[in-house]
Amino acid sequence: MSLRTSGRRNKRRGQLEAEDLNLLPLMSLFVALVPTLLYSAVFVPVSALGIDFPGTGGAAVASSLALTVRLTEATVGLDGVPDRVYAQRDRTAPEAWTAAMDTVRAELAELRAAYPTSQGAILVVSPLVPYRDVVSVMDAVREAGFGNSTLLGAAAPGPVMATADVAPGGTP
Amino acid sequence: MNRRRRAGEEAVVARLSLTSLIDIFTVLLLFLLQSVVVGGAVVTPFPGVSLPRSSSVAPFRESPVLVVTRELVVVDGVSACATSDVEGSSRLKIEPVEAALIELRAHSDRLAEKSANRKFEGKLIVQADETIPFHVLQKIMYTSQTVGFYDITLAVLQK
Repeated sequence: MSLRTSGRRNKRRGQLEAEDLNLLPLMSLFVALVPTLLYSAVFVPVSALGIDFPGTGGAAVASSLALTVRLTEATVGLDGVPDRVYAQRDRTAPEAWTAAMDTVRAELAELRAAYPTSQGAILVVSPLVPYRDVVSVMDAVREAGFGNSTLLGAAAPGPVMATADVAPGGTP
Repeated sequence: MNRRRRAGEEAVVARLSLTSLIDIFTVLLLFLLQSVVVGGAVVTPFPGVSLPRSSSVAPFRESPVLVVTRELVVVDGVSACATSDVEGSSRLKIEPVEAALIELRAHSDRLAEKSANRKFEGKLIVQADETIPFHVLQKIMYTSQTVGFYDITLAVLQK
């Protein structure tokens, strides 16, 4: 209101002045939108990583290729491919781990091309392998187009379980 | 300060300049719009948990959260046991975690009884520290399955 009055006064004097926009409705909209968006905004993007379990109808069960990735504290490599034996690559040093994963990715890409319809992979993990390394291998499998991994625990000495103990038949 | 107007002086109408505030709001709005999550549950990393990084971008569905930190196992916000207890256990099933999950399931079942469109679906989100050994995670997942939480999703940070 006051803005318009001021504008008229100036017109009476013969001066040209741009009409001010009434920004209050826009402000009201912003004030409503900002808290709503703040509530549903995520500043640390967390996403979901799906896994399959043995015998629960996971993709690996239906696969024609029994693709297996073996991950131990010292090595990583593929297994379960007909007529082919893959080397288990050393991963003890960080550089060796990076190189081994590059090789595994390349091998997975080759397998994807050879078995285009195959889905799923079994990931056999030694008990003391850090969780982040498991996720890295699961990523490599998924990025190669094999979908979710089925997690299996490799047998190990000490207070750890054997493979068969993990959700046998999906009904532990 | 003399507020009285002197003779011949015009009334001064104070005008608030909103342009700069609008600028701030516009920038803030654009920033928030690009970090907003639509069509999925929002999961916040538990304090003290360093989640592993992954290329996965899949959204979450609304589910209870089980957290495995370096020190504690937390089921839906309540501490269940120490992670070292899980690590040192010779058994797959971890009783304190099982008890907490049974309580969680009973709560879900009670809610399902009251509401027709709510039912227990066995979904569980696991937030685990990236450094924990796999066998700890395996015991946690096994215990979860014994209680009926078969649909387990791992929480990871997007790369």
